[in-house]
Amino acid sequence: MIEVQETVWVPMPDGARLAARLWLPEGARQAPVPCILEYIPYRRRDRTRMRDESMHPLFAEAGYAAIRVDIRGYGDSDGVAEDEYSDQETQDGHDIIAWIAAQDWCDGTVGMFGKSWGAYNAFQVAATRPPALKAIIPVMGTDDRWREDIHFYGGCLANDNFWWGAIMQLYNAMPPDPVIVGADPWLEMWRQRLDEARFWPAMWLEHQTHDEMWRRGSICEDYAAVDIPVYFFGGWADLFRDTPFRIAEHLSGPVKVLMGPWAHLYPHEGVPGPKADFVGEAIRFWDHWLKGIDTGLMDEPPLRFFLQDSAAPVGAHKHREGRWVEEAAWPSPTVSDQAMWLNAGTLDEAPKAGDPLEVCSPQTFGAAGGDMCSFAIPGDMPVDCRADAGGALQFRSPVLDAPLDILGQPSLSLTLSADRPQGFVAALLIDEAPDGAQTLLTRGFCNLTHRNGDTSPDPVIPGEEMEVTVPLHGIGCRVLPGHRIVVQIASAYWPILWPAPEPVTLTLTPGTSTLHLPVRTEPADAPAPGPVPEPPKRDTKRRVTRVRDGSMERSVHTDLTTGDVTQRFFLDGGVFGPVGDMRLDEIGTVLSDISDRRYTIRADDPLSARATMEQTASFTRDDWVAKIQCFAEQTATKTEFHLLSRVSCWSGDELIFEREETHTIPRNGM
Amino acid sequence: MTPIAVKTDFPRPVREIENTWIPMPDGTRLAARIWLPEDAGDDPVPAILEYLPYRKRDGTVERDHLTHPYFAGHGYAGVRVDMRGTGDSEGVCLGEYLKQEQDDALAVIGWLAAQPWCSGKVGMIGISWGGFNGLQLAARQPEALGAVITLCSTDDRYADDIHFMGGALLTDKLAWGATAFAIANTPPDPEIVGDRWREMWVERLRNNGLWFLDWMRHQRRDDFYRHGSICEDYAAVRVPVYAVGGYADGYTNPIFRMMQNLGCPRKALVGPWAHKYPHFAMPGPRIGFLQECLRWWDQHLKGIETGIMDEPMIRAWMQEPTGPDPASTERPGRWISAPSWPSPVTEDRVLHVTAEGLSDRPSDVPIPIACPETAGHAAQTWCMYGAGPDGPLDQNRELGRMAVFETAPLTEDLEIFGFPVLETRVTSDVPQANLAAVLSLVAPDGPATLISFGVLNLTHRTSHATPSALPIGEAVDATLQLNVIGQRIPSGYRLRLALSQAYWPLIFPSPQKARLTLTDARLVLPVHDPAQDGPKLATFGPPEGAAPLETEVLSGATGHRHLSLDYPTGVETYSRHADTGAATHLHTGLTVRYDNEDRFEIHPDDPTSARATCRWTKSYRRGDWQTEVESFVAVEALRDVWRVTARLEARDAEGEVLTRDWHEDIPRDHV
Repeated sequence: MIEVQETVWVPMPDGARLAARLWLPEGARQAPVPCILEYIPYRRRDRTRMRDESMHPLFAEAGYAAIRVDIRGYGDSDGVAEDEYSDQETQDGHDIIAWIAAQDWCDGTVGMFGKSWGAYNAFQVAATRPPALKAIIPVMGTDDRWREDIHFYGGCLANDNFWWGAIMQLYNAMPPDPVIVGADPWLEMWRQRLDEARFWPAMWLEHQTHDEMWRRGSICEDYAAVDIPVYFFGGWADLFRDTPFRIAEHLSGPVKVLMGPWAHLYPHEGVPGPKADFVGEAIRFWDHWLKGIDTGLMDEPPLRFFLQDSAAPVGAHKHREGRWVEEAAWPSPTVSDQAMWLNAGTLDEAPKAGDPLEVCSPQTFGAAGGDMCSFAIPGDMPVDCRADAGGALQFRSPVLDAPLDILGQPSLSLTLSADRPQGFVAALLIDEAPDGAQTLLTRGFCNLTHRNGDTSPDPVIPGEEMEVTVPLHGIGCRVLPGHRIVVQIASAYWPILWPAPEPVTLTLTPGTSTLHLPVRTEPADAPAPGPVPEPPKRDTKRRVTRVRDGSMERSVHTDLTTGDVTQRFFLDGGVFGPVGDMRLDEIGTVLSDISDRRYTIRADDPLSARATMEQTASFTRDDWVAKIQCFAEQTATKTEFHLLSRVSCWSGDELIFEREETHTIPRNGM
Repeated sequence: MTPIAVKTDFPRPVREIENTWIPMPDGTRLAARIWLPEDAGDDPVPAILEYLPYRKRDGTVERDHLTHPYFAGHGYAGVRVDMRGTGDSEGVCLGEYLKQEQDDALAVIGWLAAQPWCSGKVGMIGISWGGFNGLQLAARQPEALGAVITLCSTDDRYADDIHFMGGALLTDKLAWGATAFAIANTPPDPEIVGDRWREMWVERLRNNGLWFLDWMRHQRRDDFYRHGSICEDYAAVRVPVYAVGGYADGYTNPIFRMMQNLGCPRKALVGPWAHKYPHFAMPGPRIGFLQECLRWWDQHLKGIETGIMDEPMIRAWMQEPTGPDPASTERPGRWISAPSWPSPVTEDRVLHVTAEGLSDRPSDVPIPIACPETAGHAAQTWCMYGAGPDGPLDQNRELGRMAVFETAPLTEDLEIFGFPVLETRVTSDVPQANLAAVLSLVAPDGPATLISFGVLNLTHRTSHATPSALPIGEAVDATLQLNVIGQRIPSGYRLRLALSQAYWPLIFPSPQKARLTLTDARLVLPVHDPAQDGPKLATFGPPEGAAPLETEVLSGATGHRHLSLDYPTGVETYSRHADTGAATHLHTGLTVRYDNEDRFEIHPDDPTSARATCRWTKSYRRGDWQTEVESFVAVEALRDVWRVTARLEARDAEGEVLTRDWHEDIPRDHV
């Protein structure tokens, strides 16, 4: 019988208390067990309650204590959050582990896991070397907050900096639960959070270069600091597609990697399928490193990747065809660099001279791009790249006569010039089917002002030829015979990237640039890969009731009269889907979260770019009603970013907080 | 854009007959509004008849006020008659261009000729419907009819009307069908017809019906379309005909065909205009069209030698290149002429369609055409009104949708005048397929402007009357004629031909997704030599008109034209909306408002997902008298049938007057 404690308080050295939910296996208090920690801001009592229950009780059943702690400033935990991955957060994580190890139900060993934020801080806390921490499972996170976080892609400003910051604008404004923290203090705690909260999109935009802020929490700065075993899970539809290759190469401790076709979801809930038995695999890993049981796990090939087959370009994949492949190490001898030359419209094995090619992409280029980080919300994956046709230079390979397996991080070595002091290159690698449909395989970006380094932008000299490398995100795929490989080069990529201040024309001379493809050749004597089990059917009776149906929209809308192009991403149900209002039956709280995100631009004017996000969320239970309304906006002039934040909160009918703030931030090579 | 110069100081003072009744042989009375010289009783004048279903009381008043008093002031009776079953006229109206309509017109012409103020001569003028029936009445040869000015009309109701283009089904057939449906079910004005207005309205609502169903039941060139097509017997038209139109309109091809085939005295005037009279058309330049009409009427109805028949038969605009602008207000150019048609001075130039582009040299590499069903959204409407932004968009929007073939930048200027033609061998993998061709100019800095386009239903490759399925996998000959155009293409520009088997939402898709293969494809361009522009032509006067309609605008006009892609499903929705806002006509006190929204949905991979819906709301009110008609007509292009759904709701101040619904599955017939 598992013992579940709704709330345990984890005291920090400075007196703050962090709220946690704890699952203990039967008998743990007599015979202490290792403990598995998940440490994130997303409210263990309500918003992640259901997801937590899909994992933590299973760890407990397998003989582990499992604990879900809310970061300082979130949920029912004390204090105020100052930033993501703050030093305070990392230190708290370190101290939580010490506290866990000292509990009478804990045998003194701790494992840490988490997805996204929880993956970042698993790396970060591991780097502080808590003595009790023996292994971590980061799922879909990064070792490098500059290169592969949600703020900048290829040194270019991502709209996700705004979007993600707006999501946190809402989280930072959420109240604690009066049942947990007390009927009187809850409002006081809420007010304190609201008073002290900063508007993170603006705070982050103060840092437009690779500075100390981004080095903080990036374990790539010192890989040696993480020397415990790491098992990384990731997906090709997710944002974090380079980290597995980097950590496999650079970490000194044992590293395992499992890369599936998934979006930003735990692999046992992974979409597109096939799913993987994440919990089962995690338990084998914990058993090996926390209990010393030989599960055979570490004898298996450490790196496993799903090579997904060509698929039609649709914005929602439930399943991807493909196969699992195994690698013993990274870099791998099975993968070799195959260079192809960007000639006059073609991609060939040999260079061919030709007249210079020019492109000044319309600012609307990128409408087919989906999200960089898919959540498997229908429509958030890239659609047919032909939707953006004509906006990029295009280079097509001959028709393939045999399958081509690509595994790793492709890149482009470009020799080009630009006609403006500031701009970027967006590069797409595309699988073109015989019927002409174009499916995005991977993409990458390069801020040209960062060509000499990312710590201080160096204006482009218009017309001067530059040699730049555009790294493309990691991918494992098989391009089928009859298809072609296509490279597109563009100077805009909306709404994924914020545009340069002026339209930029890129000029590229045929026969001077190359695509580097990591081509995998299966060794003739390679053993058949081991199975990657799908999750077993588990009792999935979720103790939630839908009290109001949700809805969603993901669309791109062109006003053919004015030329305004607006992407609308609307979700009634929060970031995880159009679920509407849900009641958590066990605690009675009804959760509501409606977000409406819009990106508008006109093809001819980068300064017409506008991003807005409106969110309304509420927590309701009996006579407790806490409601939050947020609005965020980003626009820019040629020289400045302008951000606006508005937050209003109500306790019942009473408006308890209202703030509007504006920020003007100079553009610095972005 | 030149504003109309308002003329009030006419040679002859004008009086207006607000309404008079013209009796038909069966006793039905048609309502007419007449402007005539005050002294016409003493000095009778020819009558100029404009005969329409569009409501003389409040529908066409804006242009009537510019035109008919102007004619009257210059010694004519300008006559606006509501057709039977429309406007303030009695009876019911069961379709377009029916024999009843023509019989009534014969009676109207007879009645006009017999009026004491009439000289006994009648001319007919009209645009669109009124242009059609001018030609149709000429073919009926009423004795009093002396001359016709026909604008934006056709001699062939199948080949060049809003129903079909190249045998493919135009969505404009639906848009027009829905528009006519709304208009035909509006009420008469109690101030004209008295208390029986409601009874008359209900009679219309019960009987006028949904003409669109008839139209959809006829998908090939059968008797339904032969009726009212003067091309069936050009010789029947004996009176002088002046045919007028513009390249931006859908009805300009017939002008040249009529010049070629009519035997009567005839002239043609072709400008850059959309579907509007040239004194207030867009795109400009506008001309003094009413002055030109007077020269025609004076010549043929009064026997005054105006010199108009000494001028070249065809006067046409040679357009200069412009950037793509869907709301184009001005198309610069110059007038050229031709003494006859085909023009004796154009020469064909052949460009081969090859995988490398448009080339002087042929290639034997087959050209595959398998475009998404969403190809075509950057098109204009088939019939452009120039009133909203209904013109073609930058054709670069079709990159990735249509297959594109370009010349190298031209090394010398090129002028085209006439019909570009695509000749090809084509192989299809399905028995029924369309082919669309779009000719554009690509400016040196990139934007691509549509100059001409055409479509061909390949099952109609040999005949619109007896279509035949395509032999699967077997090459057949096909000739696709593009719309007539006069266009200069300067050196440095590229000529682009874009091809696809879909052209949505201009035409409905074929029932199955088609993959075509073209071989021996050639684009034949009629090349004009600028040294052969013809004799120097007198310049037109400035656009003039009588005093415009006076209105009080109660709410402003709004509108949009949108394209929306739903990412989860991949369905693309094209929509256009126009709300005129409410305005009160000061001369009648009537407040009118029209609201129209058309929506076209399709999935790029599935032609049977095509669905088009056209909605209208028309409201008319004066004080307590308040009426409104709300209607929609929708068509789903299923594989074997056209699924038509329609609803009509009529309301007055007391609420519902009548509601009717229609549902019908109409089998597809080689379309």
